[in-house]
Amino acid sequence: MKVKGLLRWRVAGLLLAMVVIVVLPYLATRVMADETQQANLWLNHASTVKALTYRIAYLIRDSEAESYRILAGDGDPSTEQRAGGAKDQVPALLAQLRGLTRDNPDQQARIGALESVTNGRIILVDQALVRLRQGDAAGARQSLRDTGDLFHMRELIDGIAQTEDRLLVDRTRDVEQQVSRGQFVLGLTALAQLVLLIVVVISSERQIGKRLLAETREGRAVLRSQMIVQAVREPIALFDEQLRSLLVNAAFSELYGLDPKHHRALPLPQIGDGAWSDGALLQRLNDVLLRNRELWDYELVQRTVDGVDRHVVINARRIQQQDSDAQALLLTVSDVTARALAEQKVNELNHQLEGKVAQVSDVNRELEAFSYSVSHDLRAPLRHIAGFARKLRQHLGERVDDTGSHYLDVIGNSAQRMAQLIDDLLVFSRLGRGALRLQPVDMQSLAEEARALSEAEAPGRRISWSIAPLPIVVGDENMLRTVWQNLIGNAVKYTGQREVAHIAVDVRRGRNGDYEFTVSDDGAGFDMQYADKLFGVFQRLHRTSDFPGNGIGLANVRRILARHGGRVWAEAEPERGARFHFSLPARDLSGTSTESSP
Amino acid sequence: MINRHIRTILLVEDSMADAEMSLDALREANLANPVVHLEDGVECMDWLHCRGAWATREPGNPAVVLLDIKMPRMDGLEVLTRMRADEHLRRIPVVILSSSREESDLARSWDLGVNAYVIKPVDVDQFFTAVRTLGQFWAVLNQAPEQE
Repeated sequence: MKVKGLLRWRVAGLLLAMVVIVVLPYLATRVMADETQQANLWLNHASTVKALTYRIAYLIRDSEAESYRILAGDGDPSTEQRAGGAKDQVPALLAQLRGLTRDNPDQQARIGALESVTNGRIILVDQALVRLRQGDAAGARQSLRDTGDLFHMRELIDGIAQTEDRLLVDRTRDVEQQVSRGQFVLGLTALAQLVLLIVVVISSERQIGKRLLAETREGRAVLRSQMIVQAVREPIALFDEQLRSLLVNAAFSELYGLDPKHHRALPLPQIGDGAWSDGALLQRLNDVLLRNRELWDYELVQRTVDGVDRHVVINARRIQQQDSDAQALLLTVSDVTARALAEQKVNELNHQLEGKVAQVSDVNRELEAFSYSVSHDLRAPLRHIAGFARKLRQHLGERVDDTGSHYLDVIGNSAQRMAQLIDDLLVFSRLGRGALRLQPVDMQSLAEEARALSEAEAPGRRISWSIAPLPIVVGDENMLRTVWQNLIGNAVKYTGQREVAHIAVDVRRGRNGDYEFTVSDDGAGFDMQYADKLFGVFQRLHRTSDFPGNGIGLANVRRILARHGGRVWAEAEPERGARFHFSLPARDLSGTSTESSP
Repeated sequence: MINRHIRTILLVEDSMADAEMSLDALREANLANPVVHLEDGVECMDWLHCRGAWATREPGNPAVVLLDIKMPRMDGLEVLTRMRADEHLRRIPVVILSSSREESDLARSWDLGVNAYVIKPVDVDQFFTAVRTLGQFWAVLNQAPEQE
């Protein structure tokens, strides 16, 4: 649009310039010619006027002179005629003169004066001739003398001639001015022509330059795209409507054994020793050409010239040939052999992994069976030991002495204790096996619940609690309940010797969004030297007589947190209290940790 | 109660020690009901159907079946399944009395329509109390519909 408008203006400007260049000089020249002609006319005119004037003066003087000759008696018939000539000729000449100077009132006035002077003198000459004929020579002489005395002609004649001369000068000057103006105009137009010519030359020069630049650029772009097509690692080829090759790039040539230097049109099925003779593929390619159906990611195994079976992915689409109406087929080949091999490898690995998983689940199943039988079969004898110790006590009745009674108590208690250990182990083992049931868990209410439970189990204790507001996290509620019950239960248990125990629960957000909970107390604490034993199964840092327990709680806590992707650690000092920290990764309900694990 | 036939309590338990303790406990409960001890699921089904060794027994369903899970030949859950599928046996109260506190056992038992699931306590006193209470509840307090 803009270009069109610009073009239109340019055309209009050029037309205008042409008009200026052609019409102005023409007009100026014409005006100048007219003026020159006029000047010549004026020159003729002035000469004519002057000639007429002098002729009149001559005729008057001649008639007077001839009259004198007659008076002197020196006349002849021609003299008589000439003496009366002025009367015959002068009026006509005057009329002519008046006609010539009609445009100048001054001259008319002078001519009027000349007329009366000439009339006067003619009349006096006539009078003189009449008197002479009557024989009055003196009167005639007087009349003739009067002509000069009464009617002064010379000044008038000179006036007319001078005026005419002046007019001529004036007019000539006007003409000269006109001419010089015309020359100026001509000069200007010549200058304009020059300027226009320069403009035209410069602009066309620029246009040509631009076009040349564009052509160069286009040429470079074409060259560049050719280079790219040739250099790209992916095989690319262009085929005509009969599937004969128009262009192949280096990668294509290499893959299918074509001579890259001297490429000649080859039908596709003949390329690459029959790598392209796949009927289904040729059918699809024809579909691309005839029906403009794009071919997307067609997978094929080809044996290429290097004798390798390659997995290739073929893409093809129809494009319009630039220089004709014909269609062309653009074909790209992606060699995905490596990927296919990798996939195969992945599949194999997956297969192996599946095998491993099957093994693991076998192991898990065995473990389950094992713990089942532990739970069922191991407990039964314990029950029997305890049961029959009781029966024995009943059976013996009064016959049991104190020592015997003590033994029976130990037997019963030991069975009891072993049953408890079995139960604990089963819980621990189950924590490692069962699936996590992830759901939003309100840590606040779990902590409060654990606190209430611990307080109920330790009546009479004085404990100062400080529980910070705790967040809702995603986790297995039952497992996290176990965590809180263990940590808070421990805090209560190990502050048993304090008159007023201080237990605090806190939370903070770690750098990667993890939650880090802390349960701290001012109880018995422990020596950090043994901290690594803290979370082991049935590991204890205190004597059971001081603090009862079987050492499974923190092992459970660690296992639970590990399963949640978190961890637990502790810091303590003997008799200065302990601080237990555990972290939970921030995660959404789908169970994926929102933070990528390192 | 007066017009009512005093029904048997069936104890199905393969462990002789457990059985002895359970029988002691039931005895301590002073129940009028006879207690029959059977050693596995097959015997139990025979007894219920008056087959084999029990072909000549007085007909009638038991007041309750106290059933162990883990037994040779036919386990407790199998017995429970068959009973619940049987037109004549499906209303008999069944109490699982097991050492197993496995969640899967609990879930399956309840799915199969058990009337109670009791884990045998290792603690002797608790054990005796549990079995005694069971006997009293199911044989005396519980009312089951007239059968057959």
